[in-house]
Amino acid sequence: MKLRLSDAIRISWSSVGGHKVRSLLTIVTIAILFGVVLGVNFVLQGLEDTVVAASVVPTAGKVYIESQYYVTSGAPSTMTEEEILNPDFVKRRVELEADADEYGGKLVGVKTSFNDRPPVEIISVEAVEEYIELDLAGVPEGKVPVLVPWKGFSYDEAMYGMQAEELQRNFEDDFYVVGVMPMTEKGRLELGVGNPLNFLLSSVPSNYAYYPVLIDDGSGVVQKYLKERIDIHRQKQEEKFAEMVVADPEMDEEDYRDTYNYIMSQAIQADRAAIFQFDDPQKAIAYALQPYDYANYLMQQDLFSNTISVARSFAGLKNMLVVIEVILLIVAVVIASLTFGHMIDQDAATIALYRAMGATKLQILLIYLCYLVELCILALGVCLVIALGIAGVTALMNAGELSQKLQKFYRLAEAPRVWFVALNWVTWTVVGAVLVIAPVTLILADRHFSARNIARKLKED
Amino acid sequence: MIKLSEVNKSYGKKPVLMDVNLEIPKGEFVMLRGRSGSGKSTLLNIIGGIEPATSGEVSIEGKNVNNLKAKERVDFYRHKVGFIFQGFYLQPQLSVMENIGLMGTFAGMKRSEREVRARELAKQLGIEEVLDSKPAEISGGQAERACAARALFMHPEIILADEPTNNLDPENAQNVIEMLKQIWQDTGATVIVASHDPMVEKYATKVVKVSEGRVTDEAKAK
Ligand SMILES: Nc1ncnc2c1ncn2[C@@H]1O[C@H](COP(=O)(O)OP(=O)(O)O)[C@@H](O)[C@H]1O
Ligand SMILES: [Mg+2]
Repeated sequence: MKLRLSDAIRISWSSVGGHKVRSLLTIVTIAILFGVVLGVNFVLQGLEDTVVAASVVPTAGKVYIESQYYVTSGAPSTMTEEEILNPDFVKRRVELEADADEYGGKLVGVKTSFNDRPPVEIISVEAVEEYIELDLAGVPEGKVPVLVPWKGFSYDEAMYGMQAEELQRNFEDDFYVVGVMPMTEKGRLELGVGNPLNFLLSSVPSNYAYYPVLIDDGSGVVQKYLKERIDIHRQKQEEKFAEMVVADPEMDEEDYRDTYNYIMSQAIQADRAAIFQFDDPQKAIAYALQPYDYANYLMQQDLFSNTISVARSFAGLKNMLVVIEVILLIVAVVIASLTFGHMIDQDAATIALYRAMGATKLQILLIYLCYLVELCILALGVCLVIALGIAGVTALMNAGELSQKLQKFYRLAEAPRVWFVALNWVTWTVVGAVLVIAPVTLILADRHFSARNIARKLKED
Repeated sequence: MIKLSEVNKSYGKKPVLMDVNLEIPKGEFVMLRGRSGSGKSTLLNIIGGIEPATSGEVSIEGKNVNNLKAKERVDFYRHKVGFIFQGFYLQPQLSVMENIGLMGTFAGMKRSEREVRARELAKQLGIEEVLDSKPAEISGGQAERACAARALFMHPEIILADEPTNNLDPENAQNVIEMLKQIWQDTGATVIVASHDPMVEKYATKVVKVSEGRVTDEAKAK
């Protein structure tokens, strides 16, 4: 192809001027279709970034994620008593650490969950000491330091008060409160009634907690408490079994053994997650949004805040947006190729002239590809203006209110900054989609370039 | 020398040219004469390499153009043939200079080289002062000259003109033919004019009658 690109652009650019109405129509159609997607995506990503930034304030700008492998998808694994009581034991720890390390995640402790009623949740002191001022020095001998969901917490107030009664222990008998854990408000993050942003904000889950978290300060006092709770639970299971035996005197030996094993296997339902600290929230999100590996069920959750739940929900919204985008792309291509087809027919004489002037078919296609690319670039410009307009109006109308609501929701000392424009991968798919209109339209309009059609034009007199 | 042997052309089932045998010696001023729809334009296009013949052989200066590959073909015609269309075939968005240089553009010539050549031709044809204008801003006569300049751009040995006097009043038609004659004399190129205008006949050194797709050579006494 000897035709210089600069010449192809010059000639094709003159076509934009020569087809003002058609060109303008194509540009405006494409710009409106994709401008709205781009604008919504600006707002979406802006909101996500805003919420994520606010969500990490209570944890000193860092993200803490608990990760563990489940043996089968979803179902928590059973651990032996020995494993639970050994705080260093984490299933497939080496793999977990290597994986998190790729995203800059640092192992800062473990979380043990014994799923009794009320549940026992224990985390290493290293996983909280950076962002909660702990009164560890004041812990009386033999008591377990705990973080509580709110000041003045006791079992009676909590959802599991009744079960606690069964334990016949008071909160104060076992625990000493060393701090309040960070968490969101109970309700939803919501703006005024009818505000369309609420649809996006419904992706921000509350992580309000109802029971305390025990702190493992390494003194062994937590393990001692855990052992007691396991023993109590065991004993209850034994009693339950005895009742069943009494209730069913017909039970043969095999039934008897199976039932016993089943009941006792319920005794210890526990798991242990590794807690990773990420300095960069975006890397934490990337770590948490890794594609699931169903064979090796890896599960990551926020430790206290809701950063990665927010990111997960917004990722879902972005995927939805891309589906809409694909539909719009089809619509845009159909409209563009219809308009363009007419234009080529109108241009037949010009094309015939180019042929007579020694242009090859490829050169002519290049000129029209340039023309279409020029239209698409202009459309992108208008698209950007529309999108920024949407984001700007949204910001004007909501910025103040959102900042206040965020401050309350995340219990922040200061109102956080909010923004409504941010780039993400969806932005680039919009740019890509608009540019892809050009070659696809050209291919669809190929038949309009038929040599015979054009030869006929040359002879019209 | 342009030589057509047993050339046929049809569109689908419709024959447009039948068994055309024609020899055009170098340097002649030829008129293809015939009614509208007789096949003049098709014949001109086949000679000029814009359309292929359905069957038969076309050779130009001993070169059988049927055997040329697509790329060679474009290159061959680019340097052999110049087309003259009616004035409205100037591209309205391009300057007169760019219009004149179109063939150079498609041949990949540099812009500066194109401008030198366009200026040279414009000087020759007396339209230097309108080089930077748009076609809409120049007179009909200047437009005809610009079209001629465009055809002459690559130093063609064959100049083809399809109904150059069509839609022109007699005075302008006369001017166009005079211009073609001038070019013919100055360049020594073979000029082939397809026309149904009897006025053209006076200038031609050879007249080829085209009638319903058949061709009869009419030798003409000068
Ligand atoms: N590209 C084409 N497709 C179909 N028919 C054509 C085409 N070009 C010309 N024809 C037909 O061929 C015949 C000759 O046309 P043409 O060569 O333009 O004659 P002329 O130039 O003498 O008027 C006409 O009947 C015309 O309709
Ligand atoms: Mg004709």
